Amino acid sequence: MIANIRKWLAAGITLLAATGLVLTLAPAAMAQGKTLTVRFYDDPAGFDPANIFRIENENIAFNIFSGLTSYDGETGEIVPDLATSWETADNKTWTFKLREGVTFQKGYGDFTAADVIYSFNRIKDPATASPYAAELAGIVSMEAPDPYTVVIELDAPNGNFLHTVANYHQGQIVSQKAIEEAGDQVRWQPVGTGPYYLESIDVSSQIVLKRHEGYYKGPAPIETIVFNIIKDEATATIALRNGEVDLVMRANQEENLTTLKAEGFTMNAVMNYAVVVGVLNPQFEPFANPLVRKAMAHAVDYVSITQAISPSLTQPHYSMLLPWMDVYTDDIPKYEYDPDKAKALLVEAGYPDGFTFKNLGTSAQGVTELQQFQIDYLSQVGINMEMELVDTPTFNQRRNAGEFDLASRLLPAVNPDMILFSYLHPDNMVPNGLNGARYDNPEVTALLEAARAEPDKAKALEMYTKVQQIVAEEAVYLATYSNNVFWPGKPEVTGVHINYLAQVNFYDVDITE
Amino acid sequence: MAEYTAKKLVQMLVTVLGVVTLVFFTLRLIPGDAASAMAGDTLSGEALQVLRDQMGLDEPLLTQYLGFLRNLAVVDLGETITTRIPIVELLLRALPITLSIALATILVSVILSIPLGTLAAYMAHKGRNWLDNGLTGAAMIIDLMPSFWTALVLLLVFSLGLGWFPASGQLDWSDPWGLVLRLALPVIVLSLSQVATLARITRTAVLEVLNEDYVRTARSLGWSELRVLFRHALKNAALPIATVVGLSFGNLLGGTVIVEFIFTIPGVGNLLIAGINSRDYQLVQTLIVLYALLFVVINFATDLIYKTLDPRVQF
Amino acid sequence: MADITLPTAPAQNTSLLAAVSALFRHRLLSHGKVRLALLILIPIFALTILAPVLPIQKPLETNLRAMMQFPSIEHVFGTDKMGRDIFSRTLAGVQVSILVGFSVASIALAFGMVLGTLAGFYGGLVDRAIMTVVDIFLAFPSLLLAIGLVSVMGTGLVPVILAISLADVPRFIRLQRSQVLSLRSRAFIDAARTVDASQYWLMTRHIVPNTIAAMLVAASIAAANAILVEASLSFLGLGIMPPQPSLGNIVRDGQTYLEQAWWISTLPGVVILLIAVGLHFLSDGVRELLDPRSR
Repeated sequence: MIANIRKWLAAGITLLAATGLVLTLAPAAMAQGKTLTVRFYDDPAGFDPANIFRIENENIAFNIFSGLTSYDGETGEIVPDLATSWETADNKTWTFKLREGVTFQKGYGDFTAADVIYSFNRIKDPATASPYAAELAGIVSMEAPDPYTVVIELDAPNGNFLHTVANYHQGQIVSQKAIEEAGDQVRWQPVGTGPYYLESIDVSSQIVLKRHEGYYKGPAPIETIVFNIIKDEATATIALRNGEVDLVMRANQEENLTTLKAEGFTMNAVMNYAVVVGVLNPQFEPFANPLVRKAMAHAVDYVSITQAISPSLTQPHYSMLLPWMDVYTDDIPKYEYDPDKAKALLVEAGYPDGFTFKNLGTSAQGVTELQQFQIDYLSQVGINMEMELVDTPTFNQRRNAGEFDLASRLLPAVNPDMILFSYLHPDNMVPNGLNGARYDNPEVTALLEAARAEPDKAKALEMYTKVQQIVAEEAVYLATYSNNVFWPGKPEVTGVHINYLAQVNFYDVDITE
Repeated sequence: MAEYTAKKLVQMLVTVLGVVTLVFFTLRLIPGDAASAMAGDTLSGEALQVLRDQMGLDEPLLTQYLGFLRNLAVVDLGETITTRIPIVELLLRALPITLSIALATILVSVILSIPLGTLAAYMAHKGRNWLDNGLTGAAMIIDLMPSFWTALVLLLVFSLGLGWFPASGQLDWSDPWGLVLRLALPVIVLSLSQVATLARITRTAVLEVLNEDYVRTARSLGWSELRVLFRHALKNAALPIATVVGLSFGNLLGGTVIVEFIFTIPGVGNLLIAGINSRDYQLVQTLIVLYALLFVVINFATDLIYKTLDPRVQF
Repeated sequence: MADITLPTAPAQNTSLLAAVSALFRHRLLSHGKVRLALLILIPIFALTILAPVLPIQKPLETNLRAMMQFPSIEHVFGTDKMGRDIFSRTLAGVQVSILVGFSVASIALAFGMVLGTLAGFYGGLVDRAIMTVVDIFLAFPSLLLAIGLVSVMGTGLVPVILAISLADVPRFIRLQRSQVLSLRSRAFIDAARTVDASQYWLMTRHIVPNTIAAMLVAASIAAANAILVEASLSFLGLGIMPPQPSLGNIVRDGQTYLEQAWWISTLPGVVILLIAVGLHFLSDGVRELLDPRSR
């Protein structure tokens, strides 16, 4: 018996040693050059611009690829990237002058106009099956009169085309040769012209980026960026405090932020990153009535709640757009906390005894503290909010199909036009798009289409303002609060500017001694 | 024996086939699919359909089912639906990690629990109950602490406070000491509840044997206490202990989702939960088939041990 | 049959009912462990029942001006992030958790007793059919079952109970079957067989009563365990959802604030412990009374 155990043990140890040898994981970071270790919060899902999802993956792609334009890390404004300049007379024909001397990573050659045309055609090609194909569907033709000029012709004027070709999703420029060589593994073998390239990846534990020595602005200050996957928020905080990571990608818990701040860590943040809206389904009878929707807005004291549970991470918000957007207007009706008014509105709407509705949520998130407060506050005006929790894929599916009474959505975007079109245009009505309020107001539709085509900025602004006012007046979507994104880090890590897509351009990041 | 083994093999096959079928249809009964899981906040409508087609989610169920069976038969594990990674590759990374943790946990808990349980039984048998009570009490307290709670307390005390163990970091097989430090806390958390359970089982089993007539006889024949304990009591207690160890080893290999999550261990549990969350049918199916295989094999092994230790047992 | 005395059949083998009533008549309330158990459990249950009339904050009532307060006279267990009284929530949680524990234990016990006895006693095809299904369920990760149930039924009390029971039932069937198997080969059963006792009589009079002690112990462990499993399920977003309190989700929610406010999760945790200890002593006492050998 003892002998047997000994045999098993020996076998076990041999097996372990053998697997260990086979599996010497990603090479450890080199000693020379600076290394930054960053917490990554989920398993990566790939970095093919045609098929990329979720902010954390997009952030990696943002550093690997470039677009014709990009977003400034601090101001959020559109800035030149691979295009040095552009012009258009009518928002319909766009001419881009391209940067010379840009090279692809890993020796894939020089960047020219042909790469732009290839990249955009690849997205549009049905064989690529890119969900972002619709973004570029308006392109009628692309021409390259010389290797550093691209002329793009659209089927209709689009004043927001510079957003479409930014370093994000469909706008990211790939190398034809690299794509063809990668075959069906493009998502794991991305090659771009950005400041960092993907050196190695272990999908359940680590991503390693190395700086692209031939980057057109010059090599980045940090040589190696190691992203360690740490899913649990508490563990990530401890890892930062232990010094195991230098920077935490997204810390979402108020208490941890307080602790880290007190211990002298830098609170890198972007304020008002995106707004969480309550999508009210008008097929649920009470929500078809604007009076009820207004009562819902008046019933909850978001000012006190956000202040109490997460003053750093949230603040009350009244609009679908965010203050830093160029077409944002503050001149809209705001529904401040007023329970008596909420009750009066309910009586007027014919619901003196209130009603019961279900708020669709994910079981992964559970019932947040904020939602628990909502339940409490709404119950005080007679509205009974029940949480209906399903798991995340189910949630996504039902929310996309519009099968809910109320569901929340946070739409990250820099382009305000994209938010308004998605939420309000009848073409985007569920299940075809994000218009879960099933909103179809011909006046708003006409204004949106006209604003998009309008080359005169001032006139477009006027139309966008009108849209925001109408929508707020009818309380189509329930604006609740806006989010801030935090990347706490060691004080010596500098230049962590989080843009309004919650991304960091690691080219700006450095470690000072 | 040959007939028994053959019968057993058929039975194992039926079980695994049952699990395969159950998992296949359960997964597809659950609403939401890989495409909608991936899309998150931003996609819907046509763009989503493009994704669905690409993943082959709209093929007839029967076609998918038969295809899955056929691939299993030729041990083709395929690749993940969403990320196109060969599942073998994922397993080769995750399995050694989970295996190490499971083995270490079993080792630690057996080493601690058998002497403790035996001693408790012996003392109880002698009418001195304090150790027995103390042990039962401690075992119960430990058993009743949820692992997510213990895990965080240990992290706060031993990692953040004392700095003995890291809270995160890569599992580097070329650095054995680093590996030990990295896996120590998860192994401790997992062992805690194993020790509690195993010590109690040992105690009960040993105590029962100590009360049997033949042990009394042995004792009256003048055998020493130790000899009685080891020759008879422990030998007979080995049966239930082996069963429990076998089962908990299976459970540990199936992945310990919460512990892996908190300690950032990229093991099998992590794969399973990632697969479920992303509705990667292929990945989940494969993992569960493996789990089922493992389960029946461990069961078979336990049966064999039973047979060897106690030839009277019939099946 | 009446004129033969079974060789080693212990006295309590007459019938379950008789055994239980004898238990109550004779020794239950004077047994040390049982007394201790009742000493722990009765006050907890009494407080739980009295909770609505006690001068404490209502379990769902939030208070933005009293967040994460240390235990005091006013808030015996302190307050949580939302300014709710944890003592009050714990008492409400005890009700839910007891319901979960009791339901799971009953379901597991009922299915385990019936199917396990059938499988063990009849063997052959019945055994094979039952054990195949049992094996399939055992070989299927219970986590996936839980996720499946929650996806189809939504979160709530019933899916939680079902999910935990589904994981326990196969284990109970196995335990019962193995008990029956070993009893079947015991001497007194052989003796009963030789006198041509009916199968039913054997099962109900000799085998089943002898298995009850172990099954009750297993059930009490399962009940205490269910409270914990519910906590783990709520960690994964599959348990009972706040604001409705359960002991599990209070501990889970408090875990987030372990460093800042240890009492939120620790004090309700102690209550879980007390209930479990109480259940343990109760089952231990009952077992000792039913099965004199193990004393």
